[in-house]
Amino acid sequence: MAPPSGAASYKKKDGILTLTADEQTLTWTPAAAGASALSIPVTTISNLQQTPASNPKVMLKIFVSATNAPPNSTAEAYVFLFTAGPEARPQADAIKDTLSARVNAGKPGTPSQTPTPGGGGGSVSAAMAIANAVSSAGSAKNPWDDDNRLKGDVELQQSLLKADSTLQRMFMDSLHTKPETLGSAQFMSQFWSTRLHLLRAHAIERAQTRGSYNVLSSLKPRVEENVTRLNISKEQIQLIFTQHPLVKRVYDENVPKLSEQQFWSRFFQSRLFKKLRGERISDADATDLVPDKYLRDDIADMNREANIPHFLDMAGNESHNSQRRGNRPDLDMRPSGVDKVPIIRTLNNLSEKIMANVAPADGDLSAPIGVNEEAWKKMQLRDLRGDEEQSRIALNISDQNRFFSHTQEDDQKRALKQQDPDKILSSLRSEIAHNLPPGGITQLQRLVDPGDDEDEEMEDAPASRRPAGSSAALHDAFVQILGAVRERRTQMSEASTSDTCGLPIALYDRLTLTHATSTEFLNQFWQAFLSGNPERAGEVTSLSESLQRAKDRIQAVANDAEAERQVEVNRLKTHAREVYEKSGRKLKMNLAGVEGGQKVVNQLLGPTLNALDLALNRYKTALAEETKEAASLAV
Amino acid sequence: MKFFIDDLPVLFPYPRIYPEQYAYMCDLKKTLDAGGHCVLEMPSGTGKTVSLLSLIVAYQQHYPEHRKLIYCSRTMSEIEKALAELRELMKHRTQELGYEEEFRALGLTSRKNLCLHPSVKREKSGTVVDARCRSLTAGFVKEKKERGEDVDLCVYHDNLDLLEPHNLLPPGVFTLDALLKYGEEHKQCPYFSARRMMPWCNIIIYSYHYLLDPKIAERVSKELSKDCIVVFDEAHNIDNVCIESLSLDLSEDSLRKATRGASNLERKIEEMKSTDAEKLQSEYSKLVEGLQQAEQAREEDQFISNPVLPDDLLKEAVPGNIRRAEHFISFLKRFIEYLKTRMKVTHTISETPPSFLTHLKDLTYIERKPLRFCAERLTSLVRTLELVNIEDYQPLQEVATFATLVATYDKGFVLILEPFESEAATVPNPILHFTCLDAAIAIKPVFDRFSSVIITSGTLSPLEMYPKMLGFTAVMQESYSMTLARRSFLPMIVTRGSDQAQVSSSFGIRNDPGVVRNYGTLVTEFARVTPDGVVVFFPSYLYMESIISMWQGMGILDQIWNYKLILVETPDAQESSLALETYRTACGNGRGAILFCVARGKVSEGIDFDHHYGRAVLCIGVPFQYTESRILKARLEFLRENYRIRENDFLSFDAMRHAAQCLGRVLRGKDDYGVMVLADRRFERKRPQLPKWINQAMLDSETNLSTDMAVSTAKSFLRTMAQPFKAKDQEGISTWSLADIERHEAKRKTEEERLTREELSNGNHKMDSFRTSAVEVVDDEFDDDIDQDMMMLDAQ
Repeated sequence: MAPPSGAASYKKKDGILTLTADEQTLTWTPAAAGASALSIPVTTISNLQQTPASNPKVMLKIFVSATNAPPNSTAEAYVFLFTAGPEARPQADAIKDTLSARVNAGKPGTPSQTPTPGGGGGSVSAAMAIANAVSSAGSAKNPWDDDNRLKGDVELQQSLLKADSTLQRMFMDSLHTKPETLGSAQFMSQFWSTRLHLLRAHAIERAQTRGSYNVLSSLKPRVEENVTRLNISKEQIQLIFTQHPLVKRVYDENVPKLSEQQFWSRFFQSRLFKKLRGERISDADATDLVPDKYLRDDIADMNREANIPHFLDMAGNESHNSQRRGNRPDLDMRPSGVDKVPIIRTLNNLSEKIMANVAPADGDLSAPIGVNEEAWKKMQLRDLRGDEEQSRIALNISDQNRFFSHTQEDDQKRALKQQDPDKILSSLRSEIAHNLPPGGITQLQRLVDPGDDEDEEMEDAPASRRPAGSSAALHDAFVQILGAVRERRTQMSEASTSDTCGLPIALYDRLTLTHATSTEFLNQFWQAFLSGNPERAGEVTSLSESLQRAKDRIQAVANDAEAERQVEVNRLKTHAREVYEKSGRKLKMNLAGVEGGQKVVNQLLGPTLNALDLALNRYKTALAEETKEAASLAV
Repeated sequence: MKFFIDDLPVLFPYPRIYPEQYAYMCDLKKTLDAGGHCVLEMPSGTGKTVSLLSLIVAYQQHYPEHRKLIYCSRTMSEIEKALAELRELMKHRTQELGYEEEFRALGLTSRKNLCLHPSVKREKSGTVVDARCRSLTAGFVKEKKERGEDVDLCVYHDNLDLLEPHNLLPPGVFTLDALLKYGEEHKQCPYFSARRMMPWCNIIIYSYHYLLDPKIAERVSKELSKDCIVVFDEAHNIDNVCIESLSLDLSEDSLRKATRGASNLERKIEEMKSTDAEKLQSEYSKLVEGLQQAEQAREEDQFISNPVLPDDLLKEAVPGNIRRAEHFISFLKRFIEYLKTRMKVTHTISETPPSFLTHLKDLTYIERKPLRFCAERLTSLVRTLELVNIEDYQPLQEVATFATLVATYDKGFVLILEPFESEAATVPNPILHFTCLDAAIAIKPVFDRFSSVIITSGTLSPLEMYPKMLGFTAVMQESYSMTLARRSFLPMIVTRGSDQAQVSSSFGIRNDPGVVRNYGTLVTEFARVTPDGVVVFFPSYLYMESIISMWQGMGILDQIWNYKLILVETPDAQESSLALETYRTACGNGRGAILFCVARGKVSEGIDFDHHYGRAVLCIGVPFQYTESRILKARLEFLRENYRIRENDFLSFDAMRHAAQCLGRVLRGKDDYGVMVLADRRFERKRPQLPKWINQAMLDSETNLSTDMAVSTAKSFLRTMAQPFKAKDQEGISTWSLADIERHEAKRKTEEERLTREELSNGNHKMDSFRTSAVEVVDDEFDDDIDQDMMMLDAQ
């Protein structure tokens, strides 16, 4: 975006007002020679004023206070009159917007964040609304929006690891098994680069704090030995000061004279305290001159100029019909004066103060009126709206067949595909005509099992070629169903309730961890390998080694599992022998029923092993090619 | 989605529809076809407005008559929402049809809300804005300017004259916001743009008053043709609006000001006599010819038009004794003096207009006839005198309006003079109430003039009450129930506090500390278990103020502070809006808030607490009207004598419609959920008076709960509601896709066919039986034998 500029006259001399590209200085260059140019550092600007949109004259008034000037000294003001006719307003707006963003941000250097028109509060997601609420009014950029900062924030990472034990274990394990060539800093950045979302969530979670509460209502004096006592903490005093600036003033002006304790005890018994709490002051209440001389210094009237959206605007509703008449409301609908029930105003004031630094739900109240599209969208009937548009990225896997070892089915399909539907239909028809004699009299048996005669010959034929309904096929189906049932049962059975597939828990934990670390290394390997970055070749080599080691680890787990299983088998055998020796009865042993062992481990980690093998193979072929190329180059 | 109702293609801006919306549209179409009035009660938050607009726009666009729609709503908020819905609908239609239809829709609200003039818009009071606006925009002011006098004009208004009068705004739908923005951009007055464009609009959305209040109706709505479709949305309170538009109060203060106004006028007349006597003379001669002619000079800039003026009044000549300006003023002065003497009485008086007129005549010789012309005569005079600062004459205008009304109507009105503010007061502060008792009077012209008037709201039960009170016959009366895939709202009646003592806001016990404490516990408990927003409604301002003060004293508010921020509706509308905004912020932020407001107050009209802005609504006490009010007593008597509506029936109906209205605020759409608590023992007996859709959702076991039971029920309800609920779960049950509609239609058709077939066969059967009976009559004498034969046969 080009820096905003516009034709503007200063002290009745025409010129150009420009903001420099780095948005640090505002310069005015006169069109005619003679007048001196002007340059104002943006950091010194304390305030901006602009003529309202309805005014045909477009003027911008800039207040500049020198950085080291005493606070009471009046700011210097520069008035620019924009002279570009119809363009004047947009030009002035552009400059004003950039400047005010700058001035509000107060921090030169960070990229400016222009406030979203119509109030961002309404359009951002719930999470962001909360986030906004935390950082006052959400004008500053949040630290969790910056990926690099997240990656670099060790403290945050430690805190996340502390909060998430599984992640910590995985992290430690990966750290221990990482190849030596990989620096720990490098490892860290790799590890966290894939977990930015976790970091971000954690950062947001940590940034959330409890909102402030109504302090005065939470202070409860208690009576101990006929003495009323009240303890207040430092935080509570601070809250009282922020929620009731008047108390701060009273404190400021009196405390050196009174002791701290005296001040508070007198304050809590004063009429002022009652007033701030919104209680009615009766004549019986004791008057304490020190705090109560401030009774009249009311809290500044909070009559802010606010633009409330029309759909909430009760003042607008009230003046909706200016010619309203009718009888006045009944006695009980006529509110009594504010003085009689001070509590009502107090309640509203307090709640407003507590919510003051939260982004409003319905957009910025000081922004020009007008509800944006988003707000109207929110008012629609949500469940009648169509399905949300999917914002996923569709992954297209080309040549899916490679991923399935069983291609039989596919062959079958292909065979079916090649057949001519017409031919099949005609053959089917003829078959029906052949098998079903007209008149509807037929043997059911023949229909169900048409190939009865050929049964014997077909027995040896491969399963896929057996005709449907033949007894052999039925048998196959039976076996398959039983198998499925059995499998299901083993999954459900009590023996493996621990979900460890028969492995001892310690071993199973090791297995999951091994799996996690292997995946982690695979992840890192592929990132490095596919990056195509020649500088990362060394890294890839070391990673391939860790992959090899991952395989070894799996193997080790498998061996241990097998050993464990063997122990169990041996135990059963000795038990059987003992029983035999004692009673002479031979126990029928079900050694196959002993679960666990290498087989299970290999089954569980099969995909991982495949993946590791694949990765290693790819690496090897690539390496071979590379060396070949290098050799040919050398030649 | 697009579907057909009979032959009418309807474009609905959502891909799904609620079954009740579909039923509503079908019934609406039937009403429009039949050409009559209807009363439709549609559950709150089921998209009443969008269904209504979709159907009527489809109707307008499809049939060659292109009947205009006048859509009336209560408040500006509701008008703005309706306009926004309409804009979305038209966008959808354009998208579906592939071209933009030539269509105009505008909303109208007061000058105060639409003004752009930099200084006028800053005025706080609506009447002042009106007056100042007139002083800048009136025709004679412009003439003066042309004559070279130094007068101020409004540039926004003047710019309108540069535009084509029928194309001040481009076609399309303008929300009030958009209208203001357009006005600002093009430097033209939004208020006058909208008002002058009314005749060219397909849809006009404005307040009831523009049709009901005779003063405004005359000016704003007179060009509307007879076949317009008139909709009164949120019409549960329409009878009160009707009454309000014909009632007024006169106080001693306003009479004093009226006298001053009259003297001012007198002076002005003297001035004009010396400078421009001709003008007065020409006015006089015009008045001889009758008001009709004077009427023709009428423009939008005129002062204030008359209250209901029967046709004969317009054609008649103005009586001689008030034709001359100075005579008229002295006539008015005499009348005001009479009123002042009446105010001196120290006991309450209630009398009918005829008795008032008789007394007036006896004392002052003022006749009825000139009295009737007062308002119009004053308007004419003000116009002739070219007065600018009209707001000074407002009290005088009130007196003139009163004069006209009291002389026009014999029945349905009452005059009540209350010398004291309240029973206990000792210093007199007399008020003369002129009260309309019959809602039918104000709305009669509407029913007479328009062939289709649709009265609709979320709470109109009992439906037959409205045709009775408003004096019309409805071709369709329907109350729809709510189809729900899950129980998405939990209505409960709490009759006892946690200490099992009964809770009630009845006058006897409402300030009883036990009751107040029980109510306090109820609110605290609900503040504790409910997430986000809780809304609490009280029956009246006075009661709310006293109960909040008592809660403060009891420390109940301190407990509530632990769970929620507390916000209260205040007498000041601006302040309340800010409180509401804070409330919404706290709800959206997760802090949670509780809002105390009044059942008949500003918040209960037109502000929605959808989704997390209202997860629970508590109605503390039955929102009865102030039963000691003399006006209410007079109205109850009138209703009993003229419409056979018993006092208690009406009071309870009135309270329950407001209670139901409060409850309905928390629902918007069927994915929304909320707890509805009616806390008063008297609600248990009034349950049948709730709208059908709330009543059906209430379990019998939940109509007599104590605080603890209600809280635990609400807790488990809220837990259930927190489970994920997908749109898929309610498909076909509480939301319909196009296929569901078609299935429903097919079913309905077969059902219909079956019915007609049955009827046909029944008819045939009847014919047969008729025939046989005829035969029987002939063969009567053989009957017995035949029977015997038959019996013999059976025996064998």
